[in-house]
Amino acid sequence: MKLFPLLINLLSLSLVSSALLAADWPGWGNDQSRNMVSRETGITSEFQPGEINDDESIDLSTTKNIKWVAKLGSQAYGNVTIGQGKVIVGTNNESTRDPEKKGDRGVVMCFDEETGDFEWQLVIPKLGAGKVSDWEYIGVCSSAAIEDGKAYVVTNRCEVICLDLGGLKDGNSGPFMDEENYVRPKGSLDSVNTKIDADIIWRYDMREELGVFPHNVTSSSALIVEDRIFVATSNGVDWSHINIPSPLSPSWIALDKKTGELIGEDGSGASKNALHAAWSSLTYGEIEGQGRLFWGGTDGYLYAYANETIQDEEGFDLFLPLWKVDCNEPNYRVDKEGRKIPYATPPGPSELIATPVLYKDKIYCSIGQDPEHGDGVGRLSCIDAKSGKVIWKNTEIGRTISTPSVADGIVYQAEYAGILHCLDAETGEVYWNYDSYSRIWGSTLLVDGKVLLGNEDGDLLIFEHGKEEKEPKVINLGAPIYSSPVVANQTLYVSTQTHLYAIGQ
Amino acid sequence: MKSIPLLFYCIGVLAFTSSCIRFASPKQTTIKASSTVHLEKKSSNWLFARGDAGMGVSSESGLPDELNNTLVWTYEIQGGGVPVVAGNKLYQFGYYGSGEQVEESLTCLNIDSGELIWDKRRQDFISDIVYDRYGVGAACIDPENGNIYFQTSPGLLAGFSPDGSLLWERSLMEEFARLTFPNGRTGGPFVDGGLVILHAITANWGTNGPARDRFYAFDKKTGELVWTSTPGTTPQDSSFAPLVFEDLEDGRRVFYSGTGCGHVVCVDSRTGQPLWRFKMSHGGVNAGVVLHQDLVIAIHGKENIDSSKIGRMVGIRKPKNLPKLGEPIMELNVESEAWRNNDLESFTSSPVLCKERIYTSVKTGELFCNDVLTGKTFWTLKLAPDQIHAAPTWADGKLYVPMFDGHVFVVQDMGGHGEILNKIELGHSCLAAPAIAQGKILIQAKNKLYCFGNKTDAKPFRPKDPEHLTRSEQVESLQIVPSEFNLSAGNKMKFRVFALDSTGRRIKQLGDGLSWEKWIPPTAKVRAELDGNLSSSGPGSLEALPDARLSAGAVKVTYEGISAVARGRILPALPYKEDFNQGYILDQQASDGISFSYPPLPWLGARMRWQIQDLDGEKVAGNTLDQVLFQRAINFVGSWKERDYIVEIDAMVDGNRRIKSTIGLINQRYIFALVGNANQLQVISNYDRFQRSVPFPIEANKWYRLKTQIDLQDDGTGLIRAKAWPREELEPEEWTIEEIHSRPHRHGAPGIYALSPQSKKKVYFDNLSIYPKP
Repeated sequence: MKLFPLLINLLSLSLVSSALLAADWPGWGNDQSRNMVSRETGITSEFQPGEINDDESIDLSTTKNIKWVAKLGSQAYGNVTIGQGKVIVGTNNESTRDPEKKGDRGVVMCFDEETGDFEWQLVIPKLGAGKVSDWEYIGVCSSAAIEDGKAYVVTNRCEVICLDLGGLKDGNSGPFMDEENYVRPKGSLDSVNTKIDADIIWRYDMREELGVFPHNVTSSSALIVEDRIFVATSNGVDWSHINIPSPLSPSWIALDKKTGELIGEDGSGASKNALHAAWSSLTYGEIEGQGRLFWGGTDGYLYAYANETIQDEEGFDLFLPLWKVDCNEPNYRVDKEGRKIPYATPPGPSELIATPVLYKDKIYCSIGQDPEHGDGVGRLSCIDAKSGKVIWKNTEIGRTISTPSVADGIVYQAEYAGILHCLDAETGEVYWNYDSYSRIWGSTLLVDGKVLLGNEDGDLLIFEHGKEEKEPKVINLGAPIYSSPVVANQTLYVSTQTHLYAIGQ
Repeated sequence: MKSIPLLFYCIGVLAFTSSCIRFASPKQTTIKASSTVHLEKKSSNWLFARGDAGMGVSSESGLPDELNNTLVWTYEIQGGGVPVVAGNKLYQFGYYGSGEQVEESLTCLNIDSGELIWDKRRQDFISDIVYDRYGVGAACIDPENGNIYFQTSPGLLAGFSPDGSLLWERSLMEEFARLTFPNGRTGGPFVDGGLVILHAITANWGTNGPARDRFYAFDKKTGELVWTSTPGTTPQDSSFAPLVFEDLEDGRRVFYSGTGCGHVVCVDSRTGQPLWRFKMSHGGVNAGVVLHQDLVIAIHGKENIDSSKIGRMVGIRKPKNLPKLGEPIMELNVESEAWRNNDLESFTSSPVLCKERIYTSVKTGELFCNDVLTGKTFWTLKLAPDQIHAAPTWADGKLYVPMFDGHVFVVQDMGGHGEILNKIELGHSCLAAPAIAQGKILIQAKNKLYCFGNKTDAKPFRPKDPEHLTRSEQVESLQIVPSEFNLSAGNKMKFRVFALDSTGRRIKQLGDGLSWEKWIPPTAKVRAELDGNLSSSGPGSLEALPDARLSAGAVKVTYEGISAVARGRILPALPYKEDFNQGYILDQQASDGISFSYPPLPWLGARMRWQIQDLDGEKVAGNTLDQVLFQRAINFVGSWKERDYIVEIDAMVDGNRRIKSTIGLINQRYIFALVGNANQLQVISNYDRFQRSVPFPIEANKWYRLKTQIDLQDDGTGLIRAKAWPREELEPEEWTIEEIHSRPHRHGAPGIYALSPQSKKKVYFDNLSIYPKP
C-alpha cells in the first residue's frame, strides 16, 4: 500500500469533517437541549492569553493562538453566543464605548466574528431599584438567542428585547422606533448614537405587563421553538428573601418571536412558592414525538409541559405542567422533627438556577442557590423525561449554578464549591472528582475530547474527556471567569469578567 | 504596570502545596514582632474589633504555632463578630437560637473558663436581615472604665457596665431612621474619649432625609447625641467599616473610615467635622484602613472609579493641611495616591499592618503580603476557595487567619513567602478576625466561639486614666448636647453647651452669656418651628406642654458671637390624629402632574415617600412612584418608648387582578399590612422571626379601615391583633387576625408601612389615629 495517497485521503477527510462540523453557537447551551457539547474538532487548547496593558487592552504580541480580544466591562456573566457572523455578549458599561452614555448600565455588545471589531451595543439604563431588582454593575446576564438576523435578549430591566443584528447603523427597524428615549436614563440628556447603538425591533416589559418583581437581577436566556420564544421572568422574593411581592406574576412566559406579543405563561403557580428567583432558562425537545418544555423551578421542582396553552376562567393563557418532580431530598425541606429547614442555610432546600439538560430522553439537572448564599447540600438528578421519575440522583454534589454536559455516557457537573464531578450518565456512578479550590459559576463545555471549565481564580481548566481522572491543564486568564466557554466555527470563546478571548489558529 | 496574575498564581500554588508542612529555612528571614511593630503599647486586652490600635495586631507573646492541641474552651454562641476583652471578661456580640427564637446578645464570659457571667439579649424587629445574618459586628470597651457598648442588627445601641448594668439605650431605627439591609453587616460602635461613635445609613427627616452613610457620636455617659456627620455622598452599599483613630500633631483627633458611598473619609472625632474624603470605589468600602506615617492604606472590592478592574488597595497620602472649623470638606483625588495595587480585591476583609508589611485575605481566598511603602506584593498564599468578612490578626510573629470555609490557618511570613504552620477546621464559616488577648486566641465560627491558647489566668483590667488635655482658652466653636432630640409632650429637657477650642477640645461648659432662639435654616424647604417653650438665655431648656403638637425644628444658641444649632422633634401626647385637612396647601407639583404638599416634617424618612394630595375631593396621603428605589415606605411617626396604644388608618391600594400594592401600619414593632397581591392581612416583625397572616380579600381602589392592638399578657406572651373592614361599614366585633407571640415586643414607635412592588400601583391612607388603649 502506498502511504502518500492514504495520508492525503485522511487529511482531506479531516478537513471535510471539520468543515462540516463547524457551526454557530446561537444560544445558551447551543441548542434547545441546552447540552453544552460541541461536535467540532481541531479546537486548540494551546494558547496564551497575554499580558494586560495599562489601558486594560491585551498586548497581543504576548499572546499565542489568540485571534482577537474584546474589552468588556468590569463584570460579565452572560455567555457568549455566536451566529450569522456576529458574537454577542452581555456585560456592564465600565468600559464605556460611547462617551455620551456614562455610568452604570447593562450592556449587550456585538462584535464581528472574524475580526472582533465592535459593531454595536444595546445600552440599558438601570432600574434604579437598588440591589433588590437590578444589582449595581452586574450588567446583562442573559445570553442572546440568535436567529434569522435577530437576537433575543433579556435585559437588566426585566424586558425581553428583539434586536436587529445589523444595529442602528443600517437603519431603524420597527415596530419599536423609540431608541432615543430607551437609552436615556431618567433625567439625563443622553442621546442615541446611530453608529453604534442597537436597533430594537420590539420590546416586552415584564414588570409593566406582568407585574414581575425581579429579584436582584433578571437572568434568563431565551429558548426559541418555532415561532415562540420562552424566557424565565426572574420573579421572586424581595429584601426579606421570604416575602413574594408578586405571587400572581408568572415565573416564565412565551412570546411571539415576530411581534413580542404574549402567547402564554407558566401555569404551575411556582411563583407563590418561590425560594428565591425564577432564573433558570427553559429546555425543549421531542419526547416520543411530542414537543416538551422543561423548566427548573424557583421552588426546587423540575417541571415538564406540552408546548400548548389552555385558557383559564379569567382569560389567561397558561402552560400547565404535565408533571413535576422535587429535585430536593425530603430532608432538605424538613428535618426529622418535621420542622421546615430554612432556605439559604447549608442543609436547606434549593431551587434550580442551572438549566436542565435533555439527553437521550433523560433530564440532567442540579439544584443550587445564589452564590452569595454559600455552600450547602445539593443534588444532581437524572430524570426520565417522559414520566418525571427520578432514575438516579447524587447528593454528594453540593449546590451549583452550573449546567451539566452529557456525552458518551458521561455527565460532567461542576459545583460552586469548586469541584468538577464526572459520573456515569446511566447510573450516577462517580468516576472522579477534581477540586479546583476556587469558586465555579460557569458551566462545562465538552469539545474535541476535552472538558473546559472556568473558575473565580481566572483559571481555565482543561480536562481530558473520559472516565479516568487526569490532572487538568490550567491556563490563567488574569480575571475571574464566571461564564462558560463556548465553541463556534473552529473558535473557542472564553470571557472573563473583563475580556472576551477568541481563541484559535 | 503589566499584571502578572499567572506568576502570583504560581506562587500561591507553590506555597499552598506546602500547607501543613513546616519547612522554615534557618536562612530565611522571618518577620518577628519587635519594638518597631506598630503597637501603641503592650496590652493584654482587646478593646476594639481591630485591636487597641486598630491595625489588627496584638502585643501578646508566647502564643502557640499550632491550634490543634490548645483548645481551652468553646462557648455556644452564634455569629460573625470579633469578641472584645478587658481583664478576665470577654464580651461577644452574637446570637442564640433559630427561627422565631433568635435573640441577639451581648454576652459576657470569663475568659479563663468560658463560663457565662451575664448576657443581655435583644430581639430583631422590622429589619431586613435575612438568613440569620446576626451578630456580624463587635462590641467595644471603654479603656477608662471597662464599660461596653454594642449595637444590634435593627439598630439598638446600648451601653453596659462590666457588671451588666444598663447605662443607656437608643433605638437608631426608630429615632434616626437607620436603615437595615439583608447582608447583616451591622458593625459596631467605637468609644473614643467621652464619645461612642458609629456609622450607618440613615434616611432621617429634614436635611438628613436623603439616605447617607452618617456618623453619630453619643455621650458615653448619657447616650445623648453630641454630633452627626455626613462626610459622604449617596451610598450604593451599607458599610460596617471599623473606625481607626489618630491624634494629629496639631492637637486634633480624627478617625478614618470607609463608607457606603465608596469613600475613605477623615472626620474630626471631637466635633464630627468632615475633613476629607477620597473616592476609591463605586461600591461601598467595608474594610478598615491601616495607618503608616503619612499614609492611610485602604482596600475595596467593588468597581474602581477609573478602571474596569474590580478591587484595589491604595496608599492615600494624608493632606498636610486640614480644613479649619467651618471650612468645607476636602476632596482628595488620584494625586493623593502614593501607590495603588490593582491585584487585591477585598470588599469586607480588613488588612493588618505589621512592620511595614500589610497582610490581607482577599476575595479569592489568598493571603497577600504587601509593602506598606510601595504597595508591591511580596507574596501570596492560597488558603481557601474564597474569603468574605474575616480578617487576619497578627501576634507573636505570626498571623492567625480564619477563612469563610471554616479553616483557620497559622501563617508565618518568611520574607519571600508565607508558610503555613498549622491548619485546623472548625466546620463552620468564620466571618470575623481573631481577638488575641490574655494569651488566648479567640475565634468566632458561625456556630460557636473558640478559645485557643494558654490556660494561664487573665491579668486584671487596669482602667486607663482619662486623658488630661492641654487646651487653649480661646473659644472657637460651641457644641450643644443633645445635638438632636425627641421631646415628648409634657416634658422638659435641658441642653448642655460646651465651648470648644480650635482642636475641638472642650474648654468648659457654658451657662451664663448664652442666648437662645428657634431657628429655621435659610435653605429649609419646609419652614417649621418646634412647638415648645425655649429659654431665651442661660443654660438652655426646652419645654413641650402637654398639648404640644407634632413638630420639628431647630434651636440656635449664641455665645459671644459664636453660634451652634441643635435640631429635634416634639412628639405629641396620645391621642394623635392626622386627617390632612388642616395646614396642607397643595402647591407642589409632582412629575406625574399631581399637586401635592409635603408630609409632616417630623415623620422619619417620609418626605420622598409620601405626598399629601387630593383624591376624590379628600386630602389623603399617596405614595410616590417616580423612583423604584422608594417602592417601600417605613416611616415612624412617634416615640420608640410608646406602648399600649392602638393605631388605625383608612387604607387603599390601587391595582388590578395581577398587580396590587400593600398598605399598612406599624404598632409596637409589628408591621400590619393589607397585602394586595396575596389578599392577606399580615403581621410581621422581620419575616424570619415573626410572620402570621390570614386570608383577606382586598379590592383595588376600595377604602378599608385597619385597626391594630398589642396586648401584653400575664404569662409574658403578647396578643397581636388587627381587624380590617370596608371603611363605609361599621367596625366588626371580631378581630380579623389574632396571634400569640411568645416573646412580644413591649414598646415601639408607631408608623406607616407601604410597598408598591416595582412602583407600579399607588397606595393611599387617611385618618391616621394613634390613641391609648382603653
